[in-house]
Amino acid sequence: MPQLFPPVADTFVKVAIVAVAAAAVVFFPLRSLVIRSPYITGIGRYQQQPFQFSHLHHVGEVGIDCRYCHTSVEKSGFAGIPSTNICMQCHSQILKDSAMLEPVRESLARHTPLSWIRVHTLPDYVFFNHSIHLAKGIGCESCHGRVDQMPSITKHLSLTMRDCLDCHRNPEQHVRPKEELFSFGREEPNRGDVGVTLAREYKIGERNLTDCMVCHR
Amino acid sequence: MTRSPSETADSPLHDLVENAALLPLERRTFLKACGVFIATAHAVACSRSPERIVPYVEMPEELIPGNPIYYASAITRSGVARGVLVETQMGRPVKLEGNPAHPESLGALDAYTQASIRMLYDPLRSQFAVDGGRPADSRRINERLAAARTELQQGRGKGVVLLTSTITSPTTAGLIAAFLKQYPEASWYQYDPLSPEEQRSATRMIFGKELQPVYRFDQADCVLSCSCDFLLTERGSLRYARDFSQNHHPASRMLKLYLAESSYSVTGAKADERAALRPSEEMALIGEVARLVGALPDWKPGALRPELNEFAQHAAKSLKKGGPKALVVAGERANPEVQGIAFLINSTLGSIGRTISFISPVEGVALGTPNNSRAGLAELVGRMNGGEINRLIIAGANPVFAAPADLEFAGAMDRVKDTWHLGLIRDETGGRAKLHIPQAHELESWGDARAFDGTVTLIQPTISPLFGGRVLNELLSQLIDQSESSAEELLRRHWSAAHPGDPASFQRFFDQSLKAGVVEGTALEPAAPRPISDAAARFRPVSSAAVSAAGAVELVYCPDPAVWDGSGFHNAWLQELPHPFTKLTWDNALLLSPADMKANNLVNGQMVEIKVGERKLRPAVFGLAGLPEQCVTLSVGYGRLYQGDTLGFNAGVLQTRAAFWSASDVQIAPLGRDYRLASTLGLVSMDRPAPTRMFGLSQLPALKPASEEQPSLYPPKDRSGEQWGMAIDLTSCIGCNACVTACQAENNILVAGKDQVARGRSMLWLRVDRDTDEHGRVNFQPVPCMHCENAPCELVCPVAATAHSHDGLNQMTYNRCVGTRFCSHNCPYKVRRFNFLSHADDTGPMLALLRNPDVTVRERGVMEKCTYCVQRIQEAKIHAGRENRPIADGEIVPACAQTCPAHAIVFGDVSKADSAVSQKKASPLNYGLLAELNTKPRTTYLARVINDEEV
Repeated sequence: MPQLFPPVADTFVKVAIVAVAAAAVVFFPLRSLVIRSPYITGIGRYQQQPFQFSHLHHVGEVGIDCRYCHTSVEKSGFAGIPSTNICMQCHSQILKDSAMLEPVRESLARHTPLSWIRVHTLPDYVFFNHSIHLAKGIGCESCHGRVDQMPSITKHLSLTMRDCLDCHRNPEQHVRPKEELFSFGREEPNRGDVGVTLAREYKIGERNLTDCMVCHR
Repeated sequence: MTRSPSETADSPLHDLVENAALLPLERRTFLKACGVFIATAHAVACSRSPERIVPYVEMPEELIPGNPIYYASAITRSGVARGVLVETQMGRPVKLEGNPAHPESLGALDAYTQASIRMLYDPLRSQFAVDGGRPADSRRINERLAAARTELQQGRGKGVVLLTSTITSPTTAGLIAAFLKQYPEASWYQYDPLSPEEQRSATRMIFGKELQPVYRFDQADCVLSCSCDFLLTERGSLRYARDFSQNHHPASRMLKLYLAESSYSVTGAKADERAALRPSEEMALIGEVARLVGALPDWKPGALRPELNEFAQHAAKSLKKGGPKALVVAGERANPEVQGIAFLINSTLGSIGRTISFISPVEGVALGTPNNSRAGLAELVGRMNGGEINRLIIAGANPVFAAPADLEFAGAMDRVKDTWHLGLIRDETGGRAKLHIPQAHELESWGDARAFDGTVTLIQPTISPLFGGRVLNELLSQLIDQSESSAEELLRRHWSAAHPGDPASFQRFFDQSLKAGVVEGTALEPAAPRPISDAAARFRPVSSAAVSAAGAVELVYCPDPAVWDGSGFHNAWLQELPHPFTKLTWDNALLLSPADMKANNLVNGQMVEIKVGERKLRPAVFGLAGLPEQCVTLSVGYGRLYQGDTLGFNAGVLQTRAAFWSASDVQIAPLGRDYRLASTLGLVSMDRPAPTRMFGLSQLPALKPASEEQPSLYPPKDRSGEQWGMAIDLTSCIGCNACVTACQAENNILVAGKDQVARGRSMLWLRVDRDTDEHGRVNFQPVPCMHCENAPCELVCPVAATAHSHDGLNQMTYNRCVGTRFCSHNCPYKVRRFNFLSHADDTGPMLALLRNPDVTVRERGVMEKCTYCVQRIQEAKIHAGRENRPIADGEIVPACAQTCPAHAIVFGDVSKADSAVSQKKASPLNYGLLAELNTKPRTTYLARVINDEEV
């Protein structure tokens, strides 16, 4: 029976083995670099919204409390996006003729809702609940960052599972006193016993926070 | 599971093997398709369109986005209301739960009502009006209504007939009265194939007037039922199921149930002593009981089979002992004379006024005696054929399908110049009508309806009509006075007339009634009538000749346990629901006793020709142990078109006016052809038999708690904190399947379809196993996930998609699952379901509105299973966490336990000794399924107890 392969085939195989190994060494770190890059996660990326709303102005400069607009944040899983009516509660008095606010006035007059592009989004199989995080002493800033410095809202964290687990594994580093939940610029993470004391007060740690069904249902 | 030979003879498993090659593709075509698929998949994966958030312009005051709102309303079954609480999520109704304030529901619902929400979004719903075969818009309907009104005025209603299904609504009844007053020549008929007209004949016979019995199973010590399926198909069945299961329990007084029936009903499965008899033997049996009890002393014993005679002796002795605390019930569709004798026995026992009372019939209360019978329909057909009628307005009824076959309604309908049909579906009648108008679903409309005891519920919409459907009240109002009053105005007008007083107090009354889901004080006054003087004299003993000769086969029709009279036929949830006994889905079948199967040389799924007089039908057969010999059963509501396929066999082509619920002298001839039935029996079942444990009441005192502790190689689990568990009481469980549909609705379980079910790919998380013991006694055993402490599934998952939580749940993380199906193979209970196909994509955008937003919709290639309704557990944790308190016992109720009419399922924290579930599990009856495998299941069962006490 004649040989199926010429002698040079050995070399091909050796090169191929080395090439595959080298590719794996390059590929996996590269892949993790790519999927964690802001290009994929969208951290810090401005989203062109249909209408320009500045958290920097409303939160940072004017000092409106988050709950004034995000009304259901303490009662429901969903923080709530303000209805046009809420905008107009102030803007029927302040800047009521501003050209910038024309879309808001039009929304109320024509009874057509404003339509925002979602920035903080989670996959459909993840169930995040705002109300319980606030009840257990996790402030807005922990996930949303310095909203008071954002002229247009952007992501502060990638909101991948790693971000969730970082905190669910060490909640005492992130808990805050109740009066600081809605304030920004507080130094993180907690040092010393502060967090541990707070966590005990909030009864964090009575239930395991890393069980799958805490987030996946 | 033990099964009769006829059931095992034709295992569908060989079908599976035969159909292994699923795709009719050649290898090359398949590879080409793969190439195209991979290329396009890459192309479409490049970008993601941004998700949008659309807030309200003005947010409704009571709404908290993300939190559900519940509205009290009602869903009717054959016109009779069951109170529901409708869960709405951001304006979409997504789930029905029973209204605890409602006298029938008491918080529970049956499968039929649970499933009714699906029809709201079903693509099969009629979406536009059809006039003369062409789509018509709303303006066209208004023109037709205006023209009809002019004609009505000219002829004072001559030649106009209104044909409705059962109406219990006081508002509709009032409008119909106004309609008939304004147009005195017009007439109104009610037709409902399942209306209890035999019961009304019986009460006329015994009490001299039309009455409706209301039973008090909570007061009874002994019950004899003659073909009365009071747990599932009788009017008031939800309430009766609750009362019965609480009273038929060792923790309570454990009433004794004797039951004789020709078919096999779920009530029959709960009987302590059961007799299978042919319809022709019913009269002789109940007459004999009446003689022994003293109700009919002159009755001459007929020719009763020895076993029936023994049954009669036992029952009579027990009834006599029970006296006023005994109760005899006969099915509302049973032979009127049988029902009459049952009433007489109750009268003799003194139980009238105690365990049974009577109210005036809930249908057409405002109008006195309604024209509501097959005789009435026959009169109507006579008038239609005589050319007397030129406009027939049919609302909610489907007489073309459901009228007795000998009336030939369809032919008569064609002789009427103008026929209108108002219905949710353009069904047989709608397709034949000249004008079809889509009806609004009950969840889209304003109205009212009475419960089985007369209590009125105001029906309120929870969403605007999706397809501009109309309601009968609006049509009637337009025909009466041209005013385009909305259904809400009509409802308010009716109730404000009944409540004179200032508008503010009426508004309070109206709001209060809407909120509570019941109108206070509307239950009909129960009475304890005495039989008329010559009532007993009319019963002559049946001679032995009246009992059909041996050899002649008899046929019984019954309502279908899932699709009811056919009104649930288009509901895919009800179609996919396995029959309580045969586990058939998507079809009905002619049910035969194993002896009859053998005598005719038949196996399951073979077709026969059945001849009743000159009428013929060719159904498939299915064997069921426990049926009487020489007597076959066929359920109604099947044999209709579903998306182009005929499903099941239409009993209606055999039913005639004279023989509507049973027929004698039936001939059965095997055809030698097979029909593909999709039964889950044996397809989805446990690895090894685990027969239901059962004890007699007399055995209980000797019973000791069995320790099932076994040594294990696994390290002991940390059991600190909450530990969830479930106990299922098999004495209480009535096998009604309500839990199965509730689970489907709550957990976004997708419909697999007949073909997939036949391949063993039913997606239902919860199944109700039934097994038959050597005496033909059927036991039901709901099997959800056992949440084993030593779960075999978790060990074999290569990607840790299924893992144990610290509070004892066997978690399933869909996004991790890669679909190896190892877990399902290693699960001894076979409770895991695999998405072989992408069922979610097939159902279209409409049904997406039905989904529960708290539960992930699973995609193809993912394993899923019962989660103990983890979304409800998490919601309770969050709720309690927000309020900084522990979770109370009973705060978490999974969907199956919530809907159970029998309270058979208890869920809670097993680490607390005083929780309801721990107390259940402490019973000596408690056992784990396949506990010998040492899986340590968290779901355990309480063995069934039957009352075996000798009287």
